[in-house]
Amino acid sequence: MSLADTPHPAHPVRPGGPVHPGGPAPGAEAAPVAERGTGPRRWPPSLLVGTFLTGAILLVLLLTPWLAPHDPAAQDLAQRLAPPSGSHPLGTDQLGRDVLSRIMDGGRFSVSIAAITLVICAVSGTLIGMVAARRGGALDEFVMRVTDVLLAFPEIIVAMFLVAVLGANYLTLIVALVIGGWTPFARLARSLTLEINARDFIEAARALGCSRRFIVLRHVLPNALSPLLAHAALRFGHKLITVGALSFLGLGVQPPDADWGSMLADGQPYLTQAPGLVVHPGLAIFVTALGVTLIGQGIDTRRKAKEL
Amino acid sequence: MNALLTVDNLTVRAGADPATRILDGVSLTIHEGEVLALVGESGSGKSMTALALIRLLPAPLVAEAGALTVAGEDLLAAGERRMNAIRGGTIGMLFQQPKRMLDPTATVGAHVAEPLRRFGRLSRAAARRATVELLADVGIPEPRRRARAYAHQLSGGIAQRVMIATALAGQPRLLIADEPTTALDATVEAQILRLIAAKKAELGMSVLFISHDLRVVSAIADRIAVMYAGRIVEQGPAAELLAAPQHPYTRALVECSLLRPDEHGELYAIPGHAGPALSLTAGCRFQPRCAASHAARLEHQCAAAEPELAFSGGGSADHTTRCWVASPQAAPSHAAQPKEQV
Repeated sequence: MSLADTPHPAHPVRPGGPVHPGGPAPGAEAAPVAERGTGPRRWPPSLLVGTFLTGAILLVLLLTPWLAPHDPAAQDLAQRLAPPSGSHPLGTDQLGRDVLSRIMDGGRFSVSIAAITLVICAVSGTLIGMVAARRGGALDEFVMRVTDVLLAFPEIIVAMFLVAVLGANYLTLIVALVIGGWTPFARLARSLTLEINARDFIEAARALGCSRRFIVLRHVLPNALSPLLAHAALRFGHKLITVGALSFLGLGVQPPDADWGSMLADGQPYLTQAPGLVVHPGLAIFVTALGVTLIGQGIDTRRKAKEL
Repeated sequence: MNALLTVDNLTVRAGADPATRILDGVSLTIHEGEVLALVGESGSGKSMTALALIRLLPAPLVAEAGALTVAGEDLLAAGERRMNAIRGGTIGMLFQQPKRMLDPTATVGAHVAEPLRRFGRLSRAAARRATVELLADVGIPEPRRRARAYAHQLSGGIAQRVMIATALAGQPRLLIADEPTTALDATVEAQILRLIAAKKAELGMSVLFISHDLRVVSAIADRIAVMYAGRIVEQGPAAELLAAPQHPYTRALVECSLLRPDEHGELYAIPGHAGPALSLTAGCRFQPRCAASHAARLEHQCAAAEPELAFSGGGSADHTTRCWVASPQAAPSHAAQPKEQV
């Protein structure tokens, strides 16, 4: 089997060094380049509706001092438990305070506490999860066992315990919610980092000598961002409800301040006489949570559509 | 010609186990401005060699070498910080799946600008201008617009041109091209090969070109090293090695690349398959699949001990082969004792 003396006529092997030192021929390959996804990206309906709802609620909450029809703390005992009317669109509570004004004012507490805790949870959880995934080994094992332990306790039980020990104030509330709240982000960030780490462009970045910090900040984080954002939006509703539940139990916002949860609790004894006292704050929690959750779903849908 | 890359006796093991040699005694030299092609089947250790050179082997694998120098610098002694400057700086890298090597969340411009800013210490604006120039330089039409594009908007050929621009941004002395055209179709493949050859000539780089395809290799290589199961089995000037292959494995590879049907209309395929690196014997690794060993009645000798890489009597003096059949004058009784006796 000597190939040397039987060169096939259609021998595709061209012995000899670099035969084509000529310049590249760009034109031939330029034509079939497909341009995809450069047009305006369409937002899925859930993202549109969610953004609209959340935007409207935030706007109202921001403008409450000017928009609220009454002082939320002003009592009018002659008007106790009044049904909806022209001057009190959602009626009054057991002390004759305007329910609409109180819902607008209370929302500022509920939403801002939920948002602050969420941001702290998301940032710290992401950081911890990414570091654990990149370092691996004992650190990773330790972080994951800690999250296991924290996940074993319902967030609200941890919060109740801390509030009982440290006393009810906003700082305690936020600390309590953060302690239980960073773990889902850490787990998600860890699994995303592990997945992204295994992708080819990370190897390419390493082969081109990018530093670890550059790889995490410029390659891992941007690729993990949209699932993390989606998760954060989904968690926001959960946070809002937890804040409401703690206030309902008297462990959150303290009088004379009110938030949606404490309004629910205050209205409970009058459920039969004035159901609006319970229904309206409940609806406020529901609609706000729905709006932000829809944003989360929208981000997720858009991400999945982009990946296809 | 000076040697740019010297690899002496590179061995890669899985963990501490001395029996699992994924690469075994690989020695290579690439001179300045030379293209050395590393050829072999999947799993023969070509890519492993490239990863070992830039010291990026995946976790359980450890590399040992007698010497590993690039442009006079000892890579074995370099710290991690220095290695990061060598990767992407002295040594540029091209990969098989260019589109998957680009971060989907980063623009083309961001990829190319990163080494420019790191090595050239350019400002953001200067790096942007240099990026567009570099993209135009590797034959990308509308470079200004392409710099703002993302990986999913590119064809494979354009993506590989972007990778070439990224690799060239660090002004490498050695370009390691790991199957850079395997995922591309034939017309684009020729353009990319031409581009690599042109850039090599223009910048005076050396190239380590890894491929399984002798037809591709024949178009670009000055010298060829053939790998089988973690060993270099034949090495020599490209034209000579292709025209007069000495090792039975190289002959089989050349025969395969001809795509020439036999009298039954069947294409030639090497019988059997490459065994796992874990079950190595003392003998020649190709022996179980080797028809020449059988025909020459040398099975016992071939199975008992592996020959050294030696001049095999054909062509120029630097054409060496690791085979008892091809170099019968080096019978085991006269030859130096085989190095490894497991």
